[in-house]
Amino acid sequence: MKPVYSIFIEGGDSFGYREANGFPYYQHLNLPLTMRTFVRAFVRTFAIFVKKARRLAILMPAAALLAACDKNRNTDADEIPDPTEGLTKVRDFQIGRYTVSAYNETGELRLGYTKLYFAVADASGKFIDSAALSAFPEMDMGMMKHSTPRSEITKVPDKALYETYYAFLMYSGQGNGKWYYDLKLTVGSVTDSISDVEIDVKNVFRPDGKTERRVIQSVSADTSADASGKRYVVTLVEPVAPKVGSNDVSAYIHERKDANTYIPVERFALKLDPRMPSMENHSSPNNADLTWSADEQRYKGTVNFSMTGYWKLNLILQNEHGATLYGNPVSGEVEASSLYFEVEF
Amino acid sequence: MALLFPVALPAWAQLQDTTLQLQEIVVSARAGANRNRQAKPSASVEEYLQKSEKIGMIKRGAYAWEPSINSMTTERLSVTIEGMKIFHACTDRMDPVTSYVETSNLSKLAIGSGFEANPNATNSIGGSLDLQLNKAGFCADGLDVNAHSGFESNGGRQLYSADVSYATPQLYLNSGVSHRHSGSYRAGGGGEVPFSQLTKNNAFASFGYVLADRKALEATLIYDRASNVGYPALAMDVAAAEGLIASLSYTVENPLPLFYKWESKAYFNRIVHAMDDAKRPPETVAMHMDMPGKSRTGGAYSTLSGRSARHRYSLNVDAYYNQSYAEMTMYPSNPNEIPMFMLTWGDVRTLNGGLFAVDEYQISGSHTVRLSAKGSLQRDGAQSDFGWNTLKIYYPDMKRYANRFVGNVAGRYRFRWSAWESNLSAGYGSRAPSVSEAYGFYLFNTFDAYDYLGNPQLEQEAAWETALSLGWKRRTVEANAEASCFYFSRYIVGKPSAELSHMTPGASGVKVYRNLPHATILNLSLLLKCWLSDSFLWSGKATFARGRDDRKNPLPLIAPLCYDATLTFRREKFFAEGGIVGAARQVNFSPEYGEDETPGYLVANLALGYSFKALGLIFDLKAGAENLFDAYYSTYADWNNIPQRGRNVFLNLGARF
Repeated sequence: MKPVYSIFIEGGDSFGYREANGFPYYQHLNLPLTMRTFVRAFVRTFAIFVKKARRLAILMPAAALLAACDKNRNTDADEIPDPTEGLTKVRDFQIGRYTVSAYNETGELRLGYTKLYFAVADASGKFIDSAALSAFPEMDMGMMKHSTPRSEITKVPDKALYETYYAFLMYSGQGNGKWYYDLKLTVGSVTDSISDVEIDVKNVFRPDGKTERRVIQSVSADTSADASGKRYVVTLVEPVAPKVGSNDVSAYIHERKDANTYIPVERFALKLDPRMPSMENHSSPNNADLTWSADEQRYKGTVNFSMTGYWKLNLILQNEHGATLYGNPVSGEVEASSLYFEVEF
Repeated sequence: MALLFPVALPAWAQLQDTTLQLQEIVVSARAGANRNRQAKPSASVEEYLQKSEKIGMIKRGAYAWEPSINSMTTERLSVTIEGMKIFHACTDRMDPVTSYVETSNLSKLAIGSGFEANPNATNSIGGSLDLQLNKAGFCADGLDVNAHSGFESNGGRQLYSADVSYATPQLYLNSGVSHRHSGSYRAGGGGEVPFSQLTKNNAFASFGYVLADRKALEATLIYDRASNVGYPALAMDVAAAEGLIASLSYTVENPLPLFYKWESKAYFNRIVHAMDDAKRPPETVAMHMDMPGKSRTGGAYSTLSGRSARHRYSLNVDAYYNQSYAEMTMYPSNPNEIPMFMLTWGDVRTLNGGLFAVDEYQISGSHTVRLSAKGSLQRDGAQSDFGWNTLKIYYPDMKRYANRFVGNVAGRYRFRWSAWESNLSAGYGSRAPSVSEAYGFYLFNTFDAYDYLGNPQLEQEAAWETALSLGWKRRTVEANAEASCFYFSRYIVGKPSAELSHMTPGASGVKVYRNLPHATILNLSLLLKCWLSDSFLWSGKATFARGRDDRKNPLPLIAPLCYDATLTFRREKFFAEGGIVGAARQVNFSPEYGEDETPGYLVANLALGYSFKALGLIFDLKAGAENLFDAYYSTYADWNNIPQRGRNVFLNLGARF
């Protein structure tokens, strides 16, 4: 059988699919003479276009290869590139001959969840990618002192960068307290440290710039299911940039062992009920409760915002058996849970 | 029944026996210019429409009434302006497209019932309404100037209009402006209905030029702006509603053997609508809101019409693209909170293209058969990411765009014998869900106090239609009885959804549009005319409708028994008309959709007219009274039972040169 749609270019074997019997394809069609001329002209133009396109296609990977070689040449030295690109500096800490610079997305330490990155540079400005860091934040309120939930400082893979997060329970100045920071640095076999450096943890406001926004809450189990009085800290992480539609929502739950020890809890859950108090407590459907995500090492769920504005994320803290530890359902007269966070956009 | 019966504005009595629309290659008569044969020439387009027994009017105030045909409204009708698709821009149906024209813009209103052969009707089941434009036409009338003014006592309504036309066989040009305004009207008994004021300005121009033998180019431009319009039945008013309608058409006479006319038209229209509650007393406004909307439509169609000895046929191809966008900003009472914003129509785009064919075959002098078919492909979806993300909350697995096929097939058999005429017609057709039904987001309905959520996963609604009419006509008596029945499958209607939470303060809940398995609508009408003498005409009509859903519950906005009777006297320069309009108690109301029982009513109207010549001009003077006995009443179709106008005395003066 002859393929009907095969293309034949007169005098151009480099390109086409020549038909077995060598007839130009338009001869099958038995077109009028003028039509044949037209088709011939069209096919020729097309062939020229395809040839050019092919040449271009050959050139393109070559160009990409050259560009790749170029890049390799620039980075082959033992110089480590600046790992802090795209981040904003919070502040520097001087530890011996090393400068430890703290960075994050906002350039500030804030009440609630604050992500922090550290870059360590020696006196010559060379970034160190084999350091070890540990830190201890402490709030001094005169009568008492306490730390806050936090993670270890760990290395970011493939970067001369170290990361951690804090869930600041209070902001600087709250209850006349001040935050102090201890930081220990180990490079090779040498360990050095600084202590009691005052840091500034900012309060978090709603868009009006004056009303405090709730992003972290300390609770103690006080329900019939669990009246142990165990204390937990629930911290909102996401949404960072809320939008109308579906948003990832995530949070940490830490159990407070003592004023300085907070252990991440992995098997709990947070029931979610987002509401708009200004809209007769309007809610949205298809939200997903927050459950432990082993990948991201925190609780993850989905919150749906049907419009912009002020939203209250009402939560119920549940243990691994589904028993309520803190918070209450929203219904009728009960307009909010005792455990909630605020999002306004 | 059976066909497009073009209701000419100048003379409603003219029932034209046309099978196919637009038989004239060019409109040669100045159809729209002379409004002076009307009892009340200053009537609005809606008031004219209301006189047809086919049409009902849903009223939310004194302005922008929503027409219904066969007990079906906007989403089940096709409303076109001389074939042009145009879609309203208000999510709360405050602006049916008939509100963007003035009577002076139009020459005829062609009403099609059910799946009748309107080539440009798409997504319609109940019927079609084609507003035909006022064009001077290629005739030798020369210059004609008209001026008109009207005053009505109730609400102090005033109308001023002027138009001028110039026509030669080679070219025509006509243009006009009008201004209408009114304060709030008083209901029967004298109580004012607050927020029923209106202001409307309109300008239009039509132009036609014969390019060469049997080829003509025509253009139309309409600009209409209503402002400060109150809607007493709703929670919000309208700051401004602006329409711009433009078209360019090219017509060839006898383009091919067997075809007498080929008309092609390209058009564009834009509607911008802004709802407003700023004028309402603050204590009645639960939350201040801004709700602007816009609708833009561009399209084209081409119609080839022909006839031979026994056949009349027409082929049509049409395509349009519509953008419907509406947003809502709500201002919380707490000034520290930021405003809440959402898209209520998330920039919904609709692309639709279709083919239509009709043939009417006259088997013999008394038997005629007509067959028509239309098929359209449609693609629609929310173009903006904001709108799409919003809807995805409710329909996580929704597709961004829906592709649909809609169409209809219809047939009619007409039998004429002696004084009798009977029509039997049957058809099957479907429609795509409207923008609000598919993509509307939390649209508050003040009638049943539910927030309505669109459903992008709706299936096309389909219906079987059968209609039967029987007419009898003598020189002095004319009678016609008609019945039409629609049996729907996948009937689209809002049903409460317990799991969704309402948004509008005070709302009872949320309704989501769903396909009901089936529903039925039945319409009956009876018309009678008697010429008692050369000067006296008595006419009467009665209509009745029933609508039922799949569980035999009544559908909303279905008319009870309605009737009217009019006695008209016309002799030379004198004109007089007296009549009554009434309805029986509405018993088959739908509590589910917020309706309650509407009591019956009866109102009387009176009009007198006189024409005279003076100062070289022809004057037409009309005076009359509507609701003569100042009855307090509201009809089944009055939103939230708002009362209709009480006694209204009007005076109209027209001058022609």
